[in-house]
Amino acid sequence: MSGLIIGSVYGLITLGLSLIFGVLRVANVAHGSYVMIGAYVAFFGFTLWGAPPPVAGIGALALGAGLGALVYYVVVKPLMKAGELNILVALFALGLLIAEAARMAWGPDFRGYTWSIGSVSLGVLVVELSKVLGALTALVTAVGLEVFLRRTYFGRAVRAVVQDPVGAQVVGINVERVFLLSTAMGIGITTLGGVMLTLFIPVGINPYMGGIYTLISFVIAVMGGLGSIMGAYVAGLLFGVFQSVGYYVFSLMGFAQPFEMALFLAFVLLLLILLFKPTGLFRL
Amino acid sequence: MKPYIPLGIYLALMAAAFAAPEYSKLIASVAFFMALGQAVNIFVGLTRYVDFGYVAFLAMGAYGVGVVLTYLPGLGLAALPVGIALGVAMAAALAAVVGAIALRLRGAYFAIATIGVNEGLKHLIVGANIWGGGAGLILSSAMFREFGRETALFLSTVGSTTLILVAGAIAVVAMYLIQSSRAGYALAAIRQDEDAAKVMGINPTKYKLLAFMTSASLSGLLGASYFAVGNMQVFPENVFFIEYILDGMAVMFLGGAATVTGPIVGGLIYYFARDLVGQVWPGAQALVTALLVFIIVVLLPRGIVGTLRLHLPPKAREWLP
Repeated sequence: MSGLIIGSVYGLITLGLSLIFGVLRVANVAHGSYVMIGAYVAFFGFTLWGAPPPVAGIGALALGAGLGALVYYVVVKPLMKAGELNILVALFALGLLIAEAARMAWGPDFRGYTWSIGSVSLGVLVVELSKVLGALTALVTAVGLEVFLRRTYFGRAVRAVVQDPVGAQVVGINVERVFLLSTAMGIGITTLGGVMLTLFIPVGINPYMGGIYTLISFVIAVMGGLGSIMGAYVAGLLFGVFQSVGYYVFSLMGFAQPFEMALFLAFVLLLLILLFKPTGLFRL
Repeated sequence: MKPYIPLGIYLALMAAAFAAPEYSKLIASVAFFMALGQAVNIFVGLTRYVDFGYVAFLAMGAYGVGVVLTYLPGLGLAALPVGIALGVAMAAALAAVVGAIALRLRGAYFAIATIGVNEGLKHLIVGANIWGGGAGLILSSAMFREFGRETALFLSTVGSTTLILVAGAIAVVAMYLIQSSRAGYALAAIRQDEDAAKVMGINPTKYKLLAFMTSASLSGLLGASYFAVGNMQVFPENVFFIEYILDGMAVMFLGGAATVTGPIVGGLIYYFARDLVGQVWPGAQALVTALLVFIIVVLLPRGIVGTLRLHLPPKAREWLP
């Protein structure tokens, strides 16, 4: 159950990655850096202005969308013709650039905060209300994004571009605008995910935290089928459960660092899925 | 293509390290970047696939020497070649496993598959507490015991520098051999159009795997010489440090991807640029590296040597591979 709750937030973090890959066919290899930015927004919002995480979430969403637009204009658009290698390397360099800038601005220490608004009992288990709120935000965002993609004109345009960029252009869709907005939305949702994540890691905010979440997001995105929105969310839930169970089993087996082992397993899982079923475990 | 100029540079640096041991650490630092760029180039430059878990190969090399020195005492001087061989073998084996799975996938999917290799292995070593776990392996006492104090100190300075330069020189030869053989043409065809190459009867996975394993073995050698022999210690936080892949790419892109002389030029410029930044603005080297890679990839995708070659007459181009 606690696995499902953190898994919901994992799903949220992965939505942006999947959206960007689905539309632009670009793997954002620096995904975790934007999670990190969201986490710092939540941290500073809470400690400096006393803004509760939901408020910080809205701020982070806007900030992330702006950053996403910038990433599109500075990296993706000029390098679209230069080839995949250049885009991937540039995005990777940008991610480290962001992490290094964060380290120089805010220092390398681990930070965190706690936002306690009581807890709620869900059957056998008592969960903090803040975590439930984070998980619900994630669920609402995922469903909202899916509805947006299915019901609005712009959403249909996005899906048309996913199916066939050239065909979409032929029928009068502004493909570049779809690219721009998808990148902005993707990164915005990711920073929002970063804010919600801080509700689960009371002392885990650090400039280099991104690396782990890049790995986790890619595992989840590949599990759900790269580019699939609901697939990413559901795979996030699965991964959350998988991680909690893995943590439990590894601590029973007497490993000193069960969390680290669970991450190693995540990596093995990634390779296995790519080996046997690179299109994802299920179709959604 | 004539590989004499790059080979000559490595030999000259080797001679310099022996003639002036007090400068060998400096030469080692410059040569490390050159050889790293050289090794990365064999895979990334020749295939245009990018491996973000590349640092794991450096780590495997370093752990090879570390494990032999720590867990197999009494080998004496033989511990060095045995350790290096183990390190190179582990790097090659890792490349074989990852490559066999991931090289069947195209571009972005390959990059995704490799993204976890580095973090995953680090978490395995720290999490399962093997090979010293999070605390790492400290090799200085083992090296003093096995080699004797004088020899150990010599090995950690001039010896390590020589090994790094040897790795660079082997990389030049390997690049030459690959490019002037069937494999080079196959890789060029794959780079341009993988589907067309497949139709022509080329097995893309086989040639990509060849480049990948060559590149990985050289990085293993490099990791063994630089971290284990040179610094006499292997810390997971250190050998799995993600920035090394960015360093390698910076050197490669600066000099020019898929050129042989490129990484030498790139390594030289990169080292001194980094050094300068370190003096002017300490702690900002990584920031500047990331910025540099970003700028080169966007503005000068062919790199210095690559751009230069475009403007040289064909005869001169032969000499500047």
